[in-house]
Amino acid sequence: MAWRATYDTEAIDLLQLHCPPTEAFYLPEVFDGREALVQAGKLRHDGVSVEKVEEAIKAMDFPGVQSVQIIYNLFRQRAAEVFLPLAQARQVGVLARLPLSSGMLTGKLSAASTFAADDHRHFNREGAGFDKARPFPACPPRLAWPRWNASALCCRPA
Amino acid sequence: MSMAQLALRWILMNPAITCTIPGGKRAEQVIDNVAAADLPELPAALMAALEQVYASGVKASRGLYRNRPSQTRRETGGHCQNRCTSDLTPPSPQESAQTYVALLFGEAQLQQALGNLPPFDEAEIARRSQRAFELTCRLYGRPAGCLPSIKNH
Repeated sequence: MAWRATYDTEAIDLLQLHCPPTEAFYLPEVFDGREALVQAGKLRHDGVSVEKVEEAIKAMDFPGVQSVQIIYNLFRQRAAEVFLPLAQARQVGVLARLPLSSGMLTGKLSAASTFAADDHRHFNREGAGFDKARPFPACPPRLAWPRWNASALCCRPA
Repeated sequence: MSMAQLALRWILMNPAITCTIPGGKRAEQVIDNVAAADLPELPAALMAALEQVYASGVKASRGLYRNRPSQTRRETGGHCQNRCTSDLTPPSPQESAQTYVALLFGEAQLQQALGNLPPFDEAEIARRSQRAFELTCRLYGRPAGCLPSIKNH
């Protein structure tokens, strides 16, 4: 399949459906179809990225969803109220997205900071473009293959 | 410990979290981020101070969002079945930036807590930095030592 050339691997370790619209969480076929990939050995772990806590909780209803990616940082702690304890109890892996709140938690931005025209922190600062619920969104509601990045290494020590 | 490392290590303090996924534009940012995973647990006093910042600064203002009638609510004639996250409308860019910055830099309590962190010994920092460096090279499929080692982390 196409990813072999891209990722140089026989199987993908983790594939997360990226922020599907809320309706998708009520369509079992969205998640069922991916189990075939797991059974075929092409996909080791399945998961989904979500925008809302409600979506995260709903996603765990699907047995194939082994991991959930959700916004969680010092400024955005709502996930910890209900979802995180549930995920832990059900042994669903959680990837914390926007851990630095789109740069606000790096200590390097100020009220005078500006962003390039093609930076989402510029054109979508108030959420008009996508995801109205946050000032610095980085996750448009669309379906996409995940991209590996350095962040994958920043995990809990074993 | 950098501010970013503090934010990342704080996330890993929650036992439900498997992993966090910061992005980095430059190699040193990636290295700094990766090294956060090796930092010791944050002291209880610091965790309490950070909780206070969130409770009094962020949560009290509903995550910096103001209450407004949502589009969803308007569309449904004033009804909202879930918790109506779309009710929360972002503040203006300037407002949010100023509030964030005030939270980060204006909280004497936070700064004091940061000052109470135990100092790391230099050799330990160098070791962790080197490990982060090696991981970064591996990540990008480059030979070990592909980046110059860190002199002043």
